[in-house]
Amino acid sequence: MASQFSFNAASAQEQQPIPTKPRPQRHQRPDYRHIHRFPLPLTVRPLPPLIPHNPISVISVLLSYLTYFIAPPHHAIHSAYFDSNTSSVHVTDEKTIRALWEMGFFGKGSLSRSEPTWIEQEKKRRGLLGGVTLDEVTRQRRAERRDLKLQRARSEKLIIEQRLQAEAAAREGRTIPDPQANLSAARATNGIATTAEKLSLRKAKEAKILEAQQLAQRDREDAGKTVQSSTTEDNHPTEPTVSGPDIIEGMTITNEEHLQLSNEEAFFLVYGLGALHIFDQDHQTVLSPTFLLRKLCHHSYSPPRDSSTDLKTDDPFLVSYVVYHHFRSLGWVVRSGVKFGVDYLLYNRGPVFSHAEFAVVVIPSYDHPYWSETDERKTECAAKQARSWWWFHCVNRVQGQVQKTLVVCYVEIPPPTQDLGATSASLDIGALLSRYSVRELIIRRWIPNRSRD
Amino acid sequence: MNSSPDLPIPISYIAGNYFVFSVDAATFLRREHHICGVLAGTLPQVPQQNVFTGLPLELMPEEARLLVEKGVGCIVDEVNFQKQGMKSLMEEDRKKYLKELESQGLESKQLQIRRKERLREEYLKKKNEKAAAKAKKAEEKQDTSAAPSGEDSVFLFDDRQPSTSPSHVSSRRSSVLGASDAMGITPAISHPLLPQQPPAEHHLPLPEVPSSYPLFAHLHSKGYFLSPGLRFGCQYMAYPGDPLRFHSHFLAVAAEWDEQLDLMTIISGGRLGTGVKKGFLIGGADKSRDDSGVAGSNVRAFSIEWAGM
Repeated sequence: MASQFSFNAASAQEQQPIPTKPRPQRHQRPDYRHIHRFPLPLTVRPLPPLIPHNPISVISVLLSYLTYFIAPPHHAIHSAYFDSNTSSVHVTDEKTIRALWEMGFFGKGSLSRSEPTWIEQEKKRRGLLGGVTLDEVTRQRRAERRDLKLQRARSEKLIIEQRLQAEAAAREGRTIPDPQANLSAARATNGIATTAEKLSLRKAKEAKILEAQQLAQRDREDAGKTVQSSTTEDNHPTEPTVSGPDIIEGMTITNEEHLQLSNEEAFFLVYGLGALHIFDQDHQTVLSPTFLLRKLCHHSYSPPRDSSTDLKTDDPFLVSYVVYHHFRSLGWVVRSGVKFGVDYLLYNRGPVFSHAEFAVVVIPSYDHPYWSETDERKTECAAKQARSWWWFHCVNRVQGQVQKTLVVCYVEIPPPTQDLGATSASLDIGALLSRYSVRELIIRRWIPNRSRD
Repeated sequence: MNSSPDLPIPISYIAGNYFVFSVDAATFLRREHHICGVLAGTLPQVPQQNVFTGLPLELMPEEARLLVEKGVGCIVDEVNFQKQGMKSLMEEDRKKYLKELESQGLESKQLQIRRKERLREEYLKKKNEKAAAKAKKAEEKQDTSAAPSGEDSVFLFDDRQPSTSPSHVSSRRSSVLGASDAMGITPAISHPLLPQQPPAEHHLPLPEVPSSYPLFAHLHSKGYFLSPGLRFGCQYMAYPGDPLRFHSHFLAVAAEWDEQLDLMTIISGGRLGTGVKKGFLIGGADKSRDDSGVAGSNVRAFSIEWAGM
């Protein structure tokens, strides 16, 4: 391995002196495999292998036990606080933010799309950093797409106008002895219109590229007194462009972004992994898992319920946490699916590696005989389970557009028990969660005519 | 094409669905009242496909209700109407009707025969011309080889042709056509047999409509053509003109005025609409506002577009 490494280095050195064409500077991707090498914010220390017929291995195992016993390894416990105004958990410590994001992709930057990169974006915007942040790439792509769409909409409007005119002409032409000419004229305009529509997208793209090239040329001719990226100039004409380094120097940017953990993520980190302490809003008291569960359940309603109300087995938080815990323990990286109109997205290793494969919709299911004992209960449960067909088709189609597989996840709701009451002191969370069961159902749109190869 | 049927148009209520069976009525509704419905029948000539469909036209309950409210249509309990109509039919009328059907069948049979004959005639004509051209060529060849004896046979062939003229055959055969040869006619409407306008005792009250009816009426009053949108993930598709000429502009979904909505619905709806270049439209009737007796006049609708896509 090492020899191969040195050989590579040597060959790289050899190649360096050869003059090559200046390539367009490419954004170097960070080594995500190294950054995200831990799947969860836990440190695991495996024992050395035990080989029965080798006494040294036994000794080494004993030794490692001994060292752990004498000097227990430091187990990092992060801290966050619960903000009852937003009903979510905030992390403000820089180190914790990085740790929770890099190990398991927990949370979302409050000012970013997902990874907390606001500070980098801000530095980039003020010209302190080179390179392009991911958010910028996205923003640029969206701006381009919006321009294209505007152009397309304009051409489509034109087409409709032309068509209406042509039709009006044709209608008047009925009384005129020669309608044929009108008809052919209408057809001709239609033909032009359709080709124009097809061409408009490509043309718009070409025009965009040409414009960019011209801008770049002009910049070069300006002898580079001011360095401006043409893209930012294009997209944000209102933003003042920073022209010299002297303004920036001495300015310090404070990170105004915090990491926002969803309630399910926070509870999983506290209860499932024991890797997080959540403080109350006064930053003094640590909330115990039981207390936290009650709090989060009350906050899963809008507006939040009073803390003296009893828990219910079908509190929205409990239902969604059961599903979150279920998929996390199966090894998936679970993130919110709100952008695709579903409850969760399942990533195989993480959002930086690949797109999500599955989109999960959570539906409570009341099959237990307790729920159908009285008519009142029956109607209430039916209302909670009810989904309309058009909603289902809508969600399914959206998942089809973004190449995800729709998973409908039914959570079997157990009947309520005594220890859920607000006055009861003890609540065994493990026992409570073990009473739930989860059923997954994959649904795909399949059309016999089109799905035939 | 431009014929307008007698109003109100009978809308047959059969097994919970609303149908229009007459071609004239279907085209009239589409042309004048922006009601498209869905063609639900199969084409008798090509029964093994469902891409192209034919009569009857199935109407949504909303469409039926709208037509009744406008006074354009009336709901008919078709099953009872047919049963009682058949029972009270005179034997004489029945025979007359059957005879009429038979004569219609004969007529169409004759039409068919005539068409066949014409095709045959054309084919023979073409064949003749070809043969003549061939003969001419052969003649020229023979001329060069100095052998005129072939001419007779060519003329002989030409002479014989008019004697088998198809016109004779057709006239002979059509005169022989009997009742057994008549084409079986399946009438789409029961008009000549039963009265065109069913008596009032068979009329049904206003159709039951889902709670989305005010939105339907509202959009319809704004000139939109509406079609069911279930397979596109909404309740109605709103087209700015005839669906054959325009793409739809909106995916419409109705909600109660103070109904609690899952925000996820708006997200997925907006995403779906923007993904296919349409607006996601959500609307409902404000019950507190005076609706002045006209359905849909107190509706407000909002269109949602996804900006970051």
